[in-house]
Amino acid sequence: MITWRLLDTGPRNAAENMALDDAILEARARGLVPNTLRFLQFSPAAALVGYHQAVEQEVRLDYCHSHAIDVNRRLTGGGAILFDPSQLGWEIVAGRDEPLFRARPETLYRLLAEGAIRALRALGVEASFRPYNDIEVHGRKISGTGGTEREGAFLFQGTLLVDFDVVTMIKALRLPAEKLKDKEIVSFKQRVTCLKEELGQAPPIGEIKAAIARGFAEALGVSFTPGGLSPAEEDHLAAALPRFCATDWIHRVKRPPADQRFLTAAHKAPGGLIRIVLQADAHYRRIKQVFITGDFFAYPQRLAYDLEVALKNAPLEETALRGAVERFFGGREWFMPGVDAEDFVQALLQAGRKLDYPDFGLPAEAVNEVFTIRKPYGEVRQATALLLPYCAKPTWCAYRNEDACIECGGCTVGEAYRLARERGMRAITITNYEHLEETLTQLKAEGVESFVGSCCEAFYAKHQRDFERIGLTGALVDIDNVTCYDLGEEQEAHQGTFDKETQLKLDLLEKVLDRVAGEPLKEVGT
Amino acid sequence: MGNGMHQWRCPADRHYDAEHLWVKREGDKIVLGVTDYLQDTAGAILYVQLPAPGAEVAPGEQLLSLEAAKWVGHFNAPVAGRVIAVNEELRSRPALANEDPYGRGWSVEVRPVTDALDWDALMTAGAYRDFLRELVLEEEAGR
Repeated sequence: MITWRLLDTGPRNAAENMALDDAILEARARGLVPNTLRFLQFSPAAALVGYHQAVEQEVRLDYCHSHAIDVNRRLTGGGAILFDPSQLGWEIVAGRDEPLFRARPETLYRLLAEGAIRALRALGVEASFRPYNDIEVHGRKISGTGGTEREGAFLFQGTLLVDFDVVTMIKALRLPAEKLKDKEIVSFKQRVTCLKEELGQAPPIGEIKAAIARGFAEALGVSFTPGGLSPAEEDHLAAALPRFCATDWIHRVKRPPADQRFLTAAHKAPGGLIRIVLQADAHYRRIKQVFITGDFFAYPQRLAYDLEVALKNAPLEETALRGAVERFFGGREWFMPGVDAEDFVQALLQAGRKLDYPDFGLPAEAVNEVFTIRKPYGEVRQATALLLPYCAKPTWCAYRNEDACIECGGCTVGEAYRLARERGMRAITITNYEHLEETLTQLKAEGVESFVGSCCEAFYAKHQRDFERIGLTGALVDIDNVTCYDLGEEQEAHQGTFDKETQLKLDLLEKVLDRVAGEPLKEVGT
Repeated sequence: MGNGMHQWRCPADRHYDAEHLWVKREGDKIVLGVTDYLQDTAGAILYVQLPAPGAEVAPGEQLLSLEAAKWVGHFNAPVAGRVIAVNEELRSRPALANEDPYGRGWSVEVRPVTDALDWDALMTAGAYRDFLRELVLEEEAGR
């Protein structure tokens, strides 16, 4: 049986660990060391971007610096990760000349992940491989992997979550959880698991390492002998360390932070609401990561998590997205009453279209605060009515429940009336849901082409199908402050008896009106 | 022969190396790119890093890198020379290497130092096809 080296380099900082990857890979490529299984740990915690990523886009540098979290760049591909001292890294460095390792990446990934999967199963965790390169437990990721190669040698590494500090991860990395809301934290926790959660407590680190070594020995048919770094690796480490500490390496890839966008969408299917939070690369126009949540029923329960994984790196383009979603649903058994593949396509497209909203005069950070009915934002034109919610009038206002306003200057609604008046638009205060239906139906009957309105996202999501049914094209601007939905008082609001005051987003409303109000507008750039 | 071996195109008008780069002579310069086998087995290519035009390259030095499905591949220059052009379109749309690896998905143009390129060290299309066949057989045997 072939003997490999088992190398445990203990807790090290990020630059040392990255320089060690370089040293071991180089030594293996030059035939100076045997094939190796290395365990790596980080102290302090490190935010690590993938080889081709830009730090500014992926990492919250201020947070990392003020919390003594190292920032560095991996040799391997993939996305940014937070590697904290509770995690255990494993990596295989081996020669590509052996027949076993000459396979195409897809085959190699499976083979190499197999060692870690066997280890997890031996520890009592039902782990499986999920293409391309995750190890998951009932749909939740427990280990991510990535690799690289150099002149006949390759390095394949994975992180094993022993424990999981989701809050620090969200604070250290730029993830689709900007506001650190409870539900965002829950959302991440649902998608990721760790040994501690699966087993009730984390096994001692020595036990985990022994299990991983056994797992790889079985999967690869090799045996391990513990060994240290060779003199060549020690020399390389010392020589390479300054390079891996340097800005030239860590910030080697520079890309505008604005290329990274967070786009949201809510799509109401007959069987429930689908919510999308999408982390998009605006330059390459593709999905980096997507979260799919909602109140629809799905069997198997992991369906949405698996779809999220399948959509990683998918182009944000209709044909490709539809193809990816249809391939996903076509390849498995599933059951979702009142929701089908096309609903996910529509939800994703709704989010994806927001990539282009800045071309129509909306600030990139505000694109999620505009919702549209029937048409994408760029096609909403010639709006001649502005519909405003009574809940944005003060509770003391004599006109709060009236379709009227004297523009007294006491609230944002008066300002919105002024904006409408200046543009020759009709302003209408909507006093309850039935009034909204009547108004939209009436406007449509009058031949109005489209309208602008203001409402909270929860209201839009709830009534999306009603808006579509009535059939008047429109653009809706989100509102500020705590809404009736946040307070659980939607029933009162529906009837027009909600007793709190919300605020219109006047700056954004004005930008929307500038684009879509009144007469046909000229295209941007003409 | 399993696994759709025949599906990978290997045009006869260029040479190949074992890292799955193709090399084509055009007058006094050579054009390089990644092969159909590489793009097909790597999957969707997400990033391509190209050298700066004007850079001097030497055998054993990295010429370009690309990333697909979290795998970073590095490709060394097969010859000493100067980079005279890079495919800017590929840089902004890496999927071109998947869509048209021998055409619009080209990577780099190099003007080699005179007579520096040893064409015999590279594979002809026929030899490369045999090389791929060998890889596939090994892969199948390893399963």
